[in-house]
Amino acid sequence: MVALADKDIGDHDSELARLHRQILAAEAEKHQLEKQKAKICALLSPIRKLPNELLSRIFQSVCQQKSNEITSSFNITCLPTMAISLVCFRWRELALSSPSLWANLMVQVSSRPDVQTNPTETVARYLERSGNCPLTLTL
Amino acid sequence: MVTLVTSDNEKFNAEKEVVERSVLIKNMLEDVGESDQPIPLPMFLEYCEHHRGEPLPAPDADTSQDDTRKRTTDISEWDQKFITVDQEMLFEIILAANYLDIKSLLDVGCKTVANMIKGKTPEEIRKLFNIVNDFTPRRRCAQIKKENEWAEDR
Repeated sequence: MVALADKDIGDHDSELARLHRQILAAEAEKHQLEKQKAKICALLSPIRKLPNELLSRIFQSVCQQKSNEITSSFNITCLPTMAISLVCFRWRELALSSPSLWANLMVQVSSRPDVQTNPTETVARYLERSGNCPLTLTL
Repeated sequence: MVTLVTSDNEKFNAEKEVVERSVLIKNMLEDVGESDQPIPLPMFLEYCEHHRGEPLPAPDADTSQDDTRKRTTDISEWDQKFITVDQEMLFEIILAANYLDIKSLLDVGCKTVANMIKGKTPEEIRKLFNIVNDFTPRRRCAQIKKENEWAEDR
């Protein structure tokens, strides 16, 4: 009786393991399909209809409305121009080819010893990307 | 009066003074040209009707005047209400304003999208506009990664 029960338990364990593998496979397949669906939906995204000229105009408006403020607690991905350049390849190419987007920078320099933020790298990147565009630098 | 016909054969009558806010239509009326470009005409007419009588930007205005207008961040209450539409329509309006050459409407549209973008992280922007993150290792990923890692450290 005990041996039979052990065999049944063993069979169930193998069946559970098989089902578990099936669940994992189905989940992976579902994840792939969701990714595929997201890609297809993104192709239909209304913003994709805008030509570069209009997208560029919008980027200029973003950077005019909110300056690139580097404060003691700044988050680089929240700087408008940097955020735009990290969205997708097309936006990045457009941002990098528009030096004026990088030419307006506000840096808050702190003399407090507890403030560890070093904005040098960010500032250098902005200056490099602003090219020959006249700079507006506020310290 | 001018009769405008949409691509689905709907007809709209409007005064010349109203439709001439569109530089394109103004020129078309002058040149009697033709175009089959579809435009969201009822909304365009509503906008032009509301702004009737306001001075139009001079065609030979210097770029500094144009820049000043673009730089003004204010959107009037009426314009804000007018442009409160879904994304599909918002981008149609922007494209139509660009095609019809209605500078003030194009500004309103672009500023509205700019307002939606500002203050957001790249991921939030992607989510908002349904944009796929298509940075791949082959596409100068090293630089992107460096920037992201640096951002994550903060």
